[in-house]
Amino acid sequence: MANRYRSAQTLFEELGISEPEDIQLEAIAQYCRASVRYKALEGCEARITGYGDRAIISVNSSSRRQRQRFSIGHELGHWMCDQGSISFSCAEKIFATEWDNSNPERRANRYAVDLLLPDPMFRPLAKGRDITFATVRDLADRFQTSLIATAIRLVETGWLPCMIVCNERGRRRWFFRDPDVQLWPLDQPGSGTIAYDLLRGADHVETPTPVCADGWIDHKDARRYELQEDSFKFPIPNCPDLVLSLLWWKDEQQLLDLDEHEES
Amino acid sequence: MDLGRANVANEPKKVIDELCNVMDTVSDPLLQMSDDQVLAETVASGENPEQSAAEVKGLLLIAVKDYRQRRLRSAQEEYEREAFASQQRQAALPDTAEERRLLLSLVCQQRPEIGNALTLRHRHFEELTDADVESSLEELQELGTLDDLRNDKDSQ
Repeated sequence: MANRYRSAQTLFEELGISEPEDIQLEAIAQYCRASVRYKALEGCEARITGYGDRAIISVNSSSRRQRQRFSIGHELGHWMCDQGSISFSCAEKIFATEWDNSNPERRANRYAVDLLLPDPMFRPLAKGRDITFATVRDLADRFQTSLIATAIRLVETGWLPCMIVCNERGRRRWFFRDPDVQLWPLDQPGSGTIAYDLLRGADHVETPTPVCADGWIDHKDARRYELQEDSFKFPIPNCPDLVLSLLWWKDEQQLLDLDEHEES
Repeated sequence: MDLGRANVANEPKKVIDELCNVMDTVSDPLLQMSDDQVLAETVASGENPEQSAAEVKGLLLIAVKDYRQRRLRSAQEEYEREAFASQQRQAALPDTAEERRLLLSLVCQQRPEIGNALTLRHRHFEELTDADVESSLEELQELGTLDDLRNDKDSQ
């Protein structure tokens, strides 16, 4: 059977897509011989059944448009990356938590990010913006996609030194950092961080706000520095206590000092 | 030439040739003019050259984008046709939930790759709800799997 994989970039070139508004997912999927159908689904957000060179992507008709678009991108990722006859049923939990393990769900999530938030279109719109969830929401509206995917893309763009961390009570689920940031987040946010309060039941905390870096960063000198934290609760079915945090080194001195420290 | 009344369907080549002649007649003197002369003539005719240039550039960009997106447009049309046809189609499936479950089980036996994929999705075939069974069969029918199985059986 022929390999059906085509990168998002290849699809954009073949279909003449150059602006966020041109990313018509139903048409792109159809071009890849995967037909989208909207229907009432129980227990999942979307699923795909593929046989031979054709597939049907079923999407929950009652979900928000942004969620539906991410679902289509994710299922198309399965169709592109997983060969042969396939059948996947994907719940919202997968879209929020499967970002760290190397498995078909992570591959499909990554494909969706490349398809929905292509770097050449995203980078100019993200340039110069603050690293906050207000920025993320604005960009997510423009690209009509999910908050998590947009936040990850913003961090990976590497415009400013920053990190996104997803925690739940008792453990860190995943994190992404700007390629230039070589620091590691702690396994759990410390007291003094906004996320700490949110994970322990606080309903609303004013963010973004500056916090001491030692509540977040695993480094012996972290207490000497400050970073900007924007955190909020992101409850989803089966994961009611997820907290997402954007960490931004507004003052890059900590990173520069640590670079010097490493070199000396 | 009355282009509006030209019988385009019967004489397309003739009409195109005549259009080309008109364009040549109009454009030849224009090509021989200097840039300054073109600008002066545009201003004299009461037009703003910058605005006209922007309008023409905009039209050309639309035409280029339109051409580049021809496959995207065609895929969108195909998607809309298929989605409509899918809504109209009556799935010819067995009447009872039990018979439908039996049919899906037969499909999984005959096409182990589908059985494996479905099992991967639900871990156990028995965990499929009646609604899951029905919609899975509808999708397999639309994908042609059920017809392939029927043809295999007929040819044996």
